[in-house]
Amino acid sequence: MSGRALADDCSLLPNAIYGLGGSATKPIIGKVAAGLAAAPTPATIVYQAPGACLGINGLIASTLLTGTASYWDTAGKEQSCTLPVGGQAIDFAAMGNSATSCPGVASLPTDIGDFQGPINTYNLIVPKASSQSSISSEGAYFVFGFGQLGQAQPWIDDTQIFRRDANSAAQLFIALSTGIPAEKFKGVDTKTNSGTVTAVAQSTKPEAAIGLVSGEVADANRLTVRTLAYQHKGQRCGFTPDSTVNAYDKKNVRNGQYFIWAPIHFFAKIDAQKKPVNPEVAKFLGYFTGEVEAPANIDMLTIEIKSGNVPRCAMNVTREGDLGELKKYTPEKPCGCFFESVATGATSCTACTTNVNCPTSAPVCRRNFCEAR
Amino acid sequence: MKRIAIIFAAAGSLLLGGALASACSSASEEATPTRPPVPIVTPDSDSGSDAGVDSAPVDPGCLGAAGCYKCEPVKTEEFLNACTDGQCTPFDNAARLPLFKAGQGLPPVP
Repeated sequence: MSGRALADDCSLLPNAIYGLGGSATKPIIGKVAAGLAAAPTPATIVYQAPGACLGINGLIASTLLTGTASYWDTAGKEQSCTLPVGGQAIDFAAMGNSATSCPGVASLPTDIGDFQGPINTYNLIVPKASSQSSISSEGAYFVFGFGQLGQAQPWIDDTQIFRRDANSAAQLFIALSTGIPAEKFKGVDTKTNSGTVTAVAQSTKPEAAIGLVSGEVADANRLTVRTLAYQHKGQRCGFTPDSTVNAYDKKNVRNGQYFIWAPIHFFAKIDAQKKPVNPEVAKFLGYFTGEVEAPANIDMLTIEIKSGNVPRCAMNVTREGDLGELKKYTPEKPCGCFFESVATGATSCTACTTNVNCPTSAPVCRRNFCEAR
Repeated sequence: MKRIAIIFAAAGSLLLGGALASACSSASEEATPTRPPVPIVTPDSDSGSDAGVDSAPVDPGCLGAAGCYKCEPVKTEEFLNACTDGQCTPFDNAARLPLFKAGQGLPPVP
């Protein structure tokens, strides 16, 4: 069989696992998928990204995937394959929000499990050429809820307000944080996170342009778009996810000053022990939750950090539910030093090879840095 | 859902007699409050999301410069307003949003 035929037919890809969900989670899924494709026992992640809530709704309804889907080769390049004519069952769904934030999902069925991965943010972005640097919850309410009628200068041109739809995690989170009903956003539907970046970045009216995207997509496009500082209701000023607009430290997420963040959610059919029914899916999702060690060629923490996400072990706050109350979090095996090292290229933590190298204040050598536990 | 937002910044302004600073505080910038803060309570009127922050009055001993929260944060609004050396950029709702009326709910989305 030719390589071309292999690339075209999803069913011929080795050990394929099929997913459906949001475009926000696609970059990190792609990076892990590339590692799995190159693993000693290869597996292929085949993923369609029509929108976050379409994934969980499809899994609940046992919808069959049809048409074409993405997969990633050993070099990490995104490829396209054709799904079986009769349709392909969904193995997992992936998105940024919890299931019950989606239209049509009143509660998660008992035979579907929710597996949570690293933290992602949701950002309001403007073109690099814009002079704007911050927005409040109330400001975003008038921009996205009213459009031109909101009179929230300079974002008063409906053709330059770039939104998604009610199935998008990015839109759901901005809806939750502002109070705009998710189905009532004004502006132009850009369909995907990358579509939003393109629309914002290429706007011919940069001062008037604004959009909403996942943080990892915003981070990957900093050459063309800039994240606005977000000031939540009752907050004294706005913060970006990072300590400065040019930093990559996610300090304001990790410490609780940036409001709009949530763990990535994966969903799959589960058995009585609440483990994914499909053992290959269990392994794949386990890499993200930390319950399963990834193949040696896949460094999950590094992938998560370089994707613009924050591993839970680097968080100092936690929350339950979408944008729930913030609480202090003390990870059992903290990785804040390693996070800083990878995300920013520097850390003030003590480097180490064993615990002997570490001070009493940070006695545990983990990933070559002295951590508190 | 009942949602009450306390405006830390306004409380800080009352205490410190100044408007919001454009940069966040550091320990060296923190000032001693001279009288108890007067929380400004704004009932939200939007569509019932959990976006607001519920709060009790702020302990005056926990207010730092520019209204930041300098004690160990426990509640959401305390984390959001914690004193930090990170860059923070105020967005002035009253000056920039003609339809925003301080102390009143937001108008419903059309």
